[in-house]
Formats: sequence, structure tokens, C-alpha cells
Amino acid sequence: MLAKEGKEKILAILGQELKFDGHFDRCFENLKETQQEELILWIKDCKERKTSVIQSKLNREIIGFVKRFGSNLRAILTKRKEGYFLALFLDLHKYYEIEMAKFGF
Amino acid sequence: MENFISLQQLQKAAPLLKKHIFTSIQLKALQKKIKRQTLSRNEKTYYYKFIRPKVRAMLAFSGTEEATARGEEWMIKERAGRARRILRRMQKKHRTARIMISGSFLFNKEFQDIDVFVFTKYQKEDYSRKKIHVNFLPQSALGSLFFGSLCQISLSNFTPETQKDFSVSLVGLLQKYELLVNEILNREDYQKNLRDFLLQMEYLSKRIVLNPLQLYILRKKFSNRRILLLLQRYLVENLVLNYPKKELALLKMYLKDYKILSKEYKNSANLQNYIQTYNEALKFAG
Repeated sequence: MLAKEGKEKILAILGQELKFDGHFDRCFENLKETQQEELILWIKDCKERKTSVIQSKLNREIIGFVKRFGSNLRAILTKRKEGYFLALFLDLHKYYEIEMAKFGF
Repeated sequence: MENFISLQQLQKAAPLLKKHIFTSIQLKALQKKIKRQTLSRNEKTYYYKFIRPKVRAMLAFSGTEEATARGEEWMIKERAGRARRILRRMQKKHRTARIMISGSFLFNKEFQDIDVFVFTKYQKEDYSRKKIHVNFLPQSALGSLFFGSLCQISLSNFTPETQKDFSVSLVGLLQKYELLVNEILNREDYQKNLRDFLLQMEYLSKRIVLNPLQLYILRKKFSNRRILLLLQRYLVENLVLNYPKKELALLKMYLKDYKILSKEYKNSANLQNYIQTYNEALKFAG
């Protein structure tokens, strides 16, 4: 699946605008098809509050969901507690650590 | 080559060097080079034409090797030799960078993977070639607790200068703990966070920076099925012993947040762990 199609599916699940961070397109297209489906299902679970959640230490109003794909890819979905989703980050582990620190997770 | 001279060393020997070996301008240029500051055109000429050859001669005369070894007594001899060869190869590839080889490979026969750390100004993609994993770290990492541990059993093309004091903030520690618990519950690879968490805890409680071997031994003790319970007890004990009660009041705020969140996110087992842990800490803190 191409990144464009993946993004459309994700936006349809969340029903809102969303920022795609990290090297999203490149990383998404490098995922296996099963992993792409897994990512989309995970987004659905996040929306339905079925996954584990962590809270930012920098801004207590922000929560996040994290998921690992393969050995080196990580996804972070961020959300305002009482509101909308902020961004979906998908990138290599190294950049994931920087992003996690940026959000205070 | 200037990697082998620390700023401290240079400042200490400055009067002698100025009297017998370098001019003031040369000494200033060398100082700038060690600080990794940009040299002017003139200074570059001085550096390559006069300073560098003199430094090379002094290092050769003093018997300084091309690699600095720390904790050699813990290393497997054959592996130290192999690491030296890799270091030489890496130096050709990353000419101006500070390079360090450390990790379990040096002291544990079971480990075949070799960790090479390259400290650079600019962010670069890590890569692996067969068993060699090259990790690019920012220069700022040289002042971290992780580096303080790493360099204790290592081979490097520079003289590692470790910081003596580190601060372990309550928020930072809780952040590390929460992430670690979340990774364990999600069955992800948690070894890196466990390593950082243990380093912080041991420094907080005993003011010691574990070397990679000590850290490996401690990490192994936590590798069992009851890891979550062990971590919980370990954290509670250290929170109560090392932070004043007033500071621990922060836990009440997080408890309140997590209780609200856990009503909404019923499947989030990590929240239950945090609630239990922080409740326990507050109970012991009195």
C-alpha cells in the first residue's frame, strides 16, 4: 500500500486532520503489507481506547500511544486528553527516542 | 591525534609548553582544536605545519598508543586485540570523529556483536556490517551517565573525560520507569531502557556509575518473570530513601491523573502498575 492510501485510511478512522511526522511516507511504504494493516488496526484500537497509554511529563494534557514494528521502526500517536489526535510519528528507533523526549514520554 | 590530549592536560602544561615547544599563537590554536572550534586560515596553517608534527612526536616519545584502553583487566585479551583492529579501521572511515568500542563483546564470550560509538556533530544514520553495529551519538552524549558507564571498559581513539556529577531528577526517573514498564507489558525489547533505568537508580542511591560489566550482572538479575514486581520494589525503596517527602508529593498529582485515565483506558495495564507503585511509595514515605 502506498503512503497516500495509508494516510487516507488512517484519517478516515480518526475522522479528523492529523499531522504525519518523521519519515512517515518512506517508512510506511517500507513496511510489509501485514505490518501496514497492523498499524491501521492499532490506530483503530487507539481511537477506541483499547491500547495502553502514556502521559507526557512535560504537558499533562498530552497522552501518547507507542508501537513497535520490526526491529527498528516505531510509531507514536499523540493526543490531547480531552480532544483531538495531534500527530502520527513513524520512523527509525533513533528518531523515535528523540521524539519521545520531545514530548516528555 | 589531538583527541589524546585533554583541555585540562593542556592548560596544566601550558607554561612549560609555551616556554619550550609552542608559541602563544600555536598554543591558542591547539586549544581551539581540542575544543573543536573552527580554526582560521592562519591557524590551520600553523596547526598542520608546526603543531601537529610536534604533538605527534611528543605522543610517540611518551609511548602513547593510538588507542586508549580503560578497564583492560576486564577484557578478553583476544577480543581487545580485535577491537583495536576495528578501531583502526573505523578511524580511517571517520577521520575526525571520536570513536569508542565498548559493550559486552569486550568481556563476555557469549556476545559476538560489537558496538562502536561514533561521537559526531551531525546526526547520521546508524548502520551494521555483519557483527559490527555503528551508533552515531551527538557530542552531548559525552557528558551523559551512559557514557560515564560505557567508557569504563572501552577502547577509544581519544582520552575519555567523564563527568563526576550527574543529576537524576524525580520526573526523569519516573518517566524512564513508566516507559520501561510499558515496554515490558507490550513485550517489546526493553533492554536499553532497563539499562538506563538501572544506571540512574544506582547513581541515585549509591553515587556510583556502574561499569558495563557491573551493569550487565545487575541487568541479568532483573531478567526473570517477576521483573515488574522487582522493578516496583526497587523503585519504591529508592524513591523513599533518596527524595524528600515534599518532592514525592508530585506522585499524588500523577496518581490522580492515572486514576482518571485508567477509567477511560481500561486495557492499559501499565496505568495500574504506576498507580500501585506510586501508592506504595507514598505509603512508605509516610
